[in-house]
Amino acid sequence: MKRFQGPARRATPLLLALAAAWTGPTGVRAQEPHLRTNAELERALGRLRAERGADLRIVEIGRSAGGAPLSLVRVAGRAGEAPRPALLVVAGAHGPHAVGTEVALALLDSLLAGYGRDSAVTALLDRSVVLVAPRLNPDAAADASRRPLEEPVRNAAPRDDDRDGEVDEDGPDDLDGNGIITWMRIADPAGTWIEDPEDPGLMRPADPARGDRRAWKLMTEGRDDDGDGKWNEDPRGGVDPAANFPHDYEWFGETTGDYPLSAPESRALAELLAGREEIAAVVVLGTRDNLAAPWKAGSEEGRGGGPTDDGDGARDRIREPLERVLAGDAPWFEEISRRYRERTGRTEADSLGAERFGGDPVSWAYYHMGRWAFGSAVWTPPKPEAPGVPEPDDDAEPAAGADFPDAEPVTAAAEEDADAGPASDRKKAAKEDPVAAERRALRWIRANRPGDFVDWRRVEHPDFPDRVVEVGGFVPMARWTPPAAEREEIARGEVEFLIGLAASLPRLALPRLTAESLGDGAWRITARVANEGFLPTRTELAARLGRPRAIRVNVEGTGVEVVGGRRTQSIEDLPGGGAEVELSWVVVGARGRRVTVRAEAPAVGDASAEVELR
Amino acid sequence: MREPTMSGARPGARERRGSIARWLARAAPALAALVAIALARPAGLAAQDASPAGALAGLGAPAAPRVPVSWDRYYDHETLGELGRRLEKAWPDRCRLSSIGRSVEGREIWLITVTDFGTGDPDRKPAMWIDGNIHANEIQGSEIALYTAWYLCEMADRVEWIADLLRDRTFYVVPTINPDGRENFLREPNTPHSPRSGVAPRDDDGDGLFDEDDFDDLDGDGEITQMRRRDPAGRWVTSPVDPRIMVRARPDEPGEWELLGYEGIDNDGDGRVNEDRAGYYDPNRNWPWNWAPAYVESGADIYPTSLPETRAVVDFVIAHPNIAGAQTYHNSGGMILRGPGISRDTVRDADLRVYDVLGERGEEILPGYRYIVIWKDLYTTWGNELDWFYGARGILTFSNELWTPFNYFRVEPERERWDRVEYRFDRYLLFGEAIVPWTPVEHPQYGPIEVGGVKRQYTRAIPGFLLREEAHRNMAFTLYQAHQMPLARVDSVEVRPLPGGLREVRARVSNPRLVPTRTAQDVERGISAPDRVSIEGGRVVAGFRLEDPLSGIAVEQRHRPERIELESIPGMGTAAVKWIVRGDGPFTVTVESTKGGRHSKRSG
Repeated sequence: MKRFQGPARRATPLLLALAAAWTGPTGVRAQEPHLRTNAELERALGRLRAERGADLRIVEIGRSAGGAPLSLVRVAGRAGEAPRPALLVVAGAHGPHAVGTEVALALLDSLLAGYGRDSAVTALLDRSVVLVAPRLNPDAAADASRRPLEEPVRNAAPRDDDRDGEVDEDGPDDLDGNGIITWMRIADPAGTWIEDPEDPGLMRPADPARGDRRAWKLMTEGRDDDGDGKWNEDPRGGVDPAANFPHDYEWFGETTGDYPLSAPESRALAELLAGREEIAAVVVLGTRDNLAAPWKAGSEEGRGGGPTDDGDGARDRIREPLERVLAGDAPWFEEISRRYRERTGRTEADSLGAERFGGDPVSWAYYHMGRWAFGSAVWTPPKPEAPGVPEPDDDAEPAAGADFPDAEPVTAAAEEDADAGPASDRKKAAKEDPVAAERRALRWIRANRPGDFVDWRRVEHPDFPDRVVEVGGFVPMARWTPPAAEREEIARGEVEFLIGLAASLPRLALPRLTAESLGDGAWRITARVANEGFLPTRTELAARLGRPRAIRVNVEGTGVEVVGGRRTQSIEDLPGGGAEVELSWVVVGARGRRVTVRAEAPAVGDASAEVELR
Repeated sequence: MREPTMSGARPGARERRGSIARWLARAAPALAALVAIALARPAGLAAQDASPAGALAGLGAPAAPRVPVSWDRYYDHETLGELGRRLEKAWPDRCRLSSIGRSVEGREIWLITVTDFGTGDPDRKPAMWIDGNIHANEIQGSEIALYTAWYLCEMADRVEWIADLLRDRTFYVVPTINPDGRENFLREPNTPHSPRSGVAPRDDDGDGLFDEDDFDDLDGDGEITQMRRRDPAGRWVTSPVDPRIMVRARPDEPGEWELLGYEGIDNDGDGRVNEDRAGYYDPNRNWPWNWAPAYVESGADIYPTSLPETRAVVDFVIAHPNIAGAQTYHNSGGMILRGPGISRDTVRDADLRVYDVLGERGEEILPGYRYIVIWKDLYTTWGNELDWFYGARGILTFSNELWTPFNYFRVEPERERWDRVEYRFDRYLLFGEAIVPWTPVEHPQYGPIEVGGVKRQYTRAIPGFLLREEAHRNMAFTLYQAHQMPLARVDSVEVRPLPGGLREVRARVSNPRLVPTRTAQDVERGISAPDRVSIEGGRVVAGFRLEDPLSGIAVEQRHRPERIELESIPGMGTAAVKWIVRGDGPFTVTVESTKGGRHSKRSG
């Protein structure tokens, strides 16, 4: 990441302003804003300026549950209105991931500053479009300004989570008066948690088979406000849009909504992607990270759907939803990931903690929408560099552990990601250290930003008068928030990668078109259609979906009849890296007539050429 | 004589019958409305004479319906709404017309709510959801749904069982959840099988153009039938029994005809015919439960609930947790379908037992229909409507495939080489009306051809004279299901003094119907709220759920003991609670069940 070259190197005033606005939770500072407010974001967008002929548009693609606009910024070069491949960058879907929005703004700044100045940026914007949705969950961002501060995850849709007829009546409460909501633990032999012996402060599930004695109940800090025997079971707000997408969707989850795409925010993104086939690739800056650690191909088919054979011969075509990327797509995911790591300096191990989220937009954009889809967590607490600090095995898998006291340990991570080895290995690793991600985060925070972990302190709890109750844990958003001193550099690495990715989109060309006389007014027309971009014209999955559509090739000419070959035909796919395909037709027409060949598809642009019959 | 299994003798049913005077007082506005309707009857609806005096009314039909409807035809979207409006005007205490949303083309998705609006909150009574016509060509579900609303309104004064049903239950009747597709089926030339889709434009052939190569009505008769061309190399021959029938030549037999598919030309010049029609997706694969993308389920459309019609139903059902049973009408084949649509999904055992009782009763009510499972007995379907109803909402749901070839001659038809049961029925009962004879036309690509075959309202839709029976029998099945939906009651409240001035109040609650107040799926997934039994009339010292009403083993509920939660009240079952209370009473005990309704009783 030290090798950065490109327009973002010039720290423009805007970028500096961004860095200043973005303070991050460097401790228990309840009065400071932890992330840019929605108003500040709107002002930042309003300050964007298109110069040197760049085309900048800001549109609203919907409104959040709380009524905040969902902005989409479109940046393109001056070259006309013709359909051009687009890169879509989405940030701020998972509320605590504030850093994504900042990277998105830095990207916009670099593109606008670089157009007409930097040849790479100019070229990419002249042949492609970059779409940026800087904050898909503005309601959560608004929540981040509230005190006490909670992990800002949900949109503002009121929801009767516990179905007791009352809405949002039992959220967390700030028991220790520090202005933030962490966790509370209640000493209770019936509890299923223990304090980790290696990292005091860290809670992990008790494993009675290994001799652990159950010691604590663990839950979010708060009282039973409605007296129903449950704690914090109906907090303010509704759905986490980043968990509300249909692939690997968690039904009946706490923050996943009543059904996939029920939230206006996720819905807006679905409608955007469904309506714009020109979006060739999607990058989501958020909690699902397949850039630090790429998706790998697995067995092609998923799990059972129909009978294989009912004895009368299979009546159904046996097809299953995929759970692993197709073999034809995997190398591209790996290569883009390699480039990402090279640009940013992040490693595969840095995806730790960013695999457990189901219903995420990245997986959906690939598995359901057939797009090249990438996710970057931007930053997770790195392996502490201090010598002598023992580090847990980097390969250990995280599990739904201390961060989600109500979740079942082990299963989520064990079944989840496609990036590790066989499931049994992952399960084993998760069993060995179900809180690997938390452990790493805690060690880093203790070494670098100790205020971001609140040490357990005893409080008096009216609901547990006879028990020891302690409050402590990670400060909200801390684990997604990079250190202030590194933010600019981190954003640069991400921006450089994104610009490189935008330059890698597929794009069509017609490098050669000839007319060969067959005599007596008959001609053979031969065209070469090429993909001059780096990525294939579409994913193998898209070809299976039929969407985005194939490349259409048309031949026409006044006074010319196509007698052999199709006047209109499709090219299903062109591989990446300059692949070509040759097409030919036989036409009849007088010498001097002209024939036009045009190839196009929304996600690859169009190319046309003309040849005279002579 | 009422069917004993459906009667459920209930205390107090008799007292509820009003005097004639009360009835007249209630009916007066409705009678006035009726006059208004009679004066302003819009065109397009058949006028029916009221039953003349001196006639003996047939059973199972209103003698003089306030809203005369001919049940031998298929109504367009506007008329479905108009009939709903008339029912609302004629029966303001029983029927309301509203809309749950709009279709792709902006049509209202009509909702007819039928209940006794004078008793209880309609949105808190256990409710039956009935929809139809999700597949545009599967048209008669709308008439059958509408017939249900009509019958309930028109018969409640005549049949006590219906009056009781409307007092206890709400019916949410949505005649068509694909109004655009319905209009297309009725107004555009179509086959019996088209369109299945709605009409949101889709690029079926991936050429960047939308819906540019639909059918073409070559002979201008408003029907899309088959095309054939005389060709000795063709593999089809004419049946000697009925020259309208094409029969496949045997492998060693010369043929006479080549079949060229449904009427159409190559509109977009890509060499293919009818390959990008209006629509095309399957609205019954667009539901979020078990949804799978198009490489698995080709009709899935772009994402679950991408269609506004799907989403309108989903949001309505989520907003109405009182829905405890559902029916979604399709055609055809004579099936009472239940889920799941894929093998790896399951119906929970306890729910399966209830499904089976309902389904087997359905087979009796609907001769020729089979109660079967979608994935196992029909085919795999991802993201269908009824799996969402059950899986995501815990609602027992059937999908009846209306009309069966059994009904042609009331026997299972046999395969014959030269004849077809629908052609024979056409010859002997419809006198040739159902089939377009082969007619020569000139085809721009194929040259001289002939077109002919089955009209769109045949083979899937029901011949007019049989429609009413089909409607009634299917309605009877849904009413049976609606009757068997849960009904939460407080059976008894007993008070016993305890030493020291406290009292023990014991209440028994029951569900005298087949379906539990919460299905196993509902309980397991925590979809609706638990049932709640609460007490008023004293200060509650402690509250208990009785694990076993006989032995009296009591499990304390420490939080909010005045409102005891029950997971579910089983079908045909009971549950018991008790409180230790300070106070003299009387005590009122109320059971509140999201899907079983609300009922109170006071201690003696």
